[in-house]
Amino acid sequence: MSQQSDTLSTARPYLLSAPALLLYVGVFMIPLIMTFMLSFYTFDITRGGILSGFSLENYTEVLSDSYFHKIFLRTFVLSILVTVFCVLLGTPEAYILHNMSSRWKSICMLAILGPLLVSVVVRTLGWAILIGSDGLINNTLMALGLIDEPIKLMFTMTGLVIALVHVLIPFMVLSVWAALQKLDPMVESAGQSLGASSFTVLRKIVLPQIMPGVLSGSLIVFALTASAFATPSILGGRRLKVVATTAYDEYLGTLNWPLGAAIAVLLLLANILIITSYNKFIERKYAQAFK
Amino acid sequence: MRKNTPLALVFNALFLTFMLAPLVVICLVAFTSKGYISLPTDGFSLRWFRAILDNPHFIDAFYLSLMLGFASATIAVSIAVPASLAFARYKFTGRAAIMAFFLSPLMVPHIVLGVSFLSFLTKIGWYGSFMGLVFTHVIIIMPYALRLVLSSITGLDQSAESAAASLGASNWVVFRRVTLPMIIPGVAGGWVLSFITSFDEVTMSVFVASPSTTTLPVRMYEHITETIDPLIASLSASLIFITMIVMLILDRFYGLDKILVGKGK
Amino acid sequence: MSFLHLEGLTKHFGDFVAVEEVNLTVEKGEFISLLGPSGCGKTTTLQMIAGFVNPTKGKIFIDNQDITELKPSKRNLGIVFQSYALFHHMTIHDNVAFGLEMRNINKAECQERVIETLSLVHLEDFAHRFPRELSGGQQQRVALARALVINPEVLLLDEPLSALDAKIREDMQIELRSIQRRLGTTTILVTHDQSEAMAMSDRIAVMNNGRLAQVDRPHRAYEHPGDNFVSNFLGKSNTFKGQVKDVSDGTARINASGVDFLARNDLFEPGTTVNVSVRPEKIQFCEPGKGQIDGSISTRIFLGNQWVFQVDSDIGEFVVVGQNTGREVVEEGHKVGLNWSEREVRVLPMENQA
Ligand SMILES: Nc1ncnc2c1ncn2[C@@H]1O[C@H](COP(=O)(O)OP(=O)(O)O)[C@@H](O)[C@H]1O
Ligand SMILES: [Mg+2]
Repeated sequence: MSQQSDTLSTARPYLLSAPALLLYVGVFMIPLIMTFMLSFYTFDITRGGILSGFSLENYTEVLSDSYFHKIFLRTFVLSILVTVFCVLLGTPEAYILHNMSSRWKSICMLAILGPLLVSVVVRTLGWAILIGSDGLINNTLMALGLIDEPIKLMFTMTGLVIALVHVLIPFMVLSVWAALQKLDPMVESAGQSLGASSFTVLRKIVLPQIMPGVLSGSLIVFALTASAFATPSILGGRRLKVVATTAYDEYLGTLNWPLGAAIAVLLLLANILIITSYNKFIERKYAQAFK
Repeated sequence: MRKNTPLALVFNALFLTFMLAPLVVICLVAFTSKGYISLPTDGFSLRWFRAILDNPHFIDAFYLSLMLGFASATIAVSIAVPASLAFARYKFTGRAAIMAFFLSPLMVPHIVLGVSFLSFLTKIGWYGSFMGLVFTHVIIIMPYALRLVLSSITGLDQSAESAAASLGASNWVVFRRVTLPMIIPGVAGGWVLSFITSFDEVTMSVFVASPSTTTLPVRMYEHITETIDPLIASLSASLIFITMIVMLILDRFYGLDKILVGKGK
Repeated sequence: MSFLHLEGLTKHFGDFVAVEEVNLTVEKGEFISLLGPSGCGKTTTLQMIAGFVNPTKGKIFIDNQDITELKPSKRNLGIVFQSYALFHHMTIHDNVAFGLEMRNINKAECQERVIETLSLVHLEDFAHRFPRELSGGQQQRVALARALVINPEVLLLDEPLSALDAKIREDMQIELRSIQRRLGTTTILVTHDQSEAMAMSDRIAVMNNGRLAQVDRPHRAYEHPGDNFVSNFLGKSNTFKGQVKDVSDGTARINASGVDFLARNDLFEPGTTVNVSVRPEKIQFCEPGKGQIDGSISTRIFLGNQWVFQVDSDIGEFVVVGQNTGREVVEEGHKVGLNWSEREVRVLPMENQA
């Protein structure tokens, strides 16, 4: 801003970001690198636990064992299902919010976004109480005589999908909502004045413009589901292991840190790969729209 | 503005029910007088709320989480402000790369951070220390703090600062009297979001929390995996009440959507 | 020597030349406008004077002191920005008092000067409000008061009125000018609006592509533009390319596509290619064949106080402006003669780059 000697003003931005930079290198980069290295170590209970060295043993184990295949596949399917439901429910909800009067809109927004501020443990507990075998849904349905025996939701994929959709759908609504905010309100009126029906306006004018919001929302939901831990752990338990709970068990259950590290590294790589390629795809597809 | 059809309003009602059902159920169950999970059919009882106070386990964890949130949000914001100033005000080599680096914890699943921090803290002998917890939480919340602070600095009209300088204010006075007061709302918003994110975090904390330094969500998680009883429901209900108050305040001052847009990746 | 002096002031942003060799002298108490199209380097020049941009080359003197290296906070200049740049977290009073506070002026005197300056801009009743509670025009006057209260050596105004509505803008032009006259503060106004510059300034400095094109009193710059750019930027002009055929007694005969223009000239030698230009309001209609050239009216636009005609002729299109005197005027499609006096024809050099 003001005149300083040239060296000082060149150094200044680096000085300003130095505290954060130091912290990141010390407490973020180094731990990640340690985990990466750890994933090449071996674990042998008879020889005293973790043995340093370099071996691909953990990776070959994870990539060849059908037990792990099943877990990775389950995590993937779970993420797809949750994402699809979030898109199908969250997008229309965001659009409905968009069309509401501002008073109702802010009330509904509070109800939808408020849960984001509540710990995921608490929200999952709510579902555990609702869907447990003697949970409220089953008890009510049985008391009403609608079913004879409890519907199995706890420890099933269905229960897990329901709870994860609940946990993550606010991100979807938020993302589409942000896209809708950028929409010129006159565009819709213009479309209608040109003789398009409401449905056509929605499909041909609104949807293409909020597509970037839908896509980035899907990415958030997908990535967060793929690495979700608390909800699958509480509602899926040992019976429905996902990648995150498996890594947890390796670390804190069997104490096989190297194997847990390998699983973590694979999860991280998959995550980064999906995020960056998806972003590339969106950028390419919507390059013109963003210019 | 177009009107919603009746069908849309029904959808909206169902959607809101879905969003609120689990929270409402917790709040109802918390008032039961029975010793197991059930609706308070025979009157509201505060029995299980009183039980929380008799449980030092949870009380200690609650205080620890409060302090942790306080410390990590404060540290995160105070390093996010200078970093944001650098990004908003200077063009420098590596600017984009450093910025991406600062946001990159968002791309790393918390479980991965958890295992990494566990090895790291064990290695340097900080496992089980409060400071260890604080630093790991700072990493997790930095991206959120940075985004909100940065957007408030970028949105700032820089000419107000030039005006102050031309009126005779030194760099430091300009920062203290003009820049800081103008970005305070964004900084405060970043602090609150950071605090809440830290306070709620469970996945990473499960790894780095030791028996003596356990955060509230971790303790609750551990409790739930063993048993689901009215005690945990009343505790959760209390958290929901507190959150509601915070949320109403936040919404009043900022608009919830504006703060939380920063929460997405 | 003059009060404010810019000497070869130059600013490059990398390879891009934003301001090139600007030399300008401003007398004490003078009101001068930097006028030019958007992007021509006006703001950059002003920011160099204020100290927010380091000149690549050149010097700035105020009262014979070289201030080129001085920090902005030490220059004692008053600056008013287009965006007002008020401190939104302070009251109007505190905004205005800020500069005095920085000068450690005691409470009582500070209070007095704030009130005095606020009444100068008719805002003494608003001292305890916050900027957001004021209208755009009022906010701009706060910004002016804040800049004036420190008794600046020079007042710098960067498009201060361009965010205001047309009506308020005109009122503010008059008010600003009268305040400046009363205080006698040396003032530099940056604007892209030629009528604003002409209405307010003692002199205008027309800028083009980072260079000063002409510095003159408004009337003189309008009547005797130094080049084609100035001629067209300060109002409309009918400009044609031609060649000087002969010069006698200070009057040149210039041939443009077969039509001869007579013009006062003692600059250009016979044989030079030049531009000749006549302002639209200096042309009268007459019977076809009786004027310098004939044409036919292609469009006619009524603007209330005046008419604007487009006239097709053999050498191109003319724009002619006539006062609305209440009488009927020639209609579209009619043939007319165009007449002007040789005193109104300007001869300008060809742009060498074109
Ligand atoms: N900091 C900068 N970096 C690069 N180019 C700049 C910078 N500031 C101004 N410019 C360029 O210099 C030219 C002149 O800008 P400016 O002085 O703001 O013009 P004006 O005020 O006359 O509209 C413009 O083309 C602008 O893009
Ligand atoms: Mg400008």
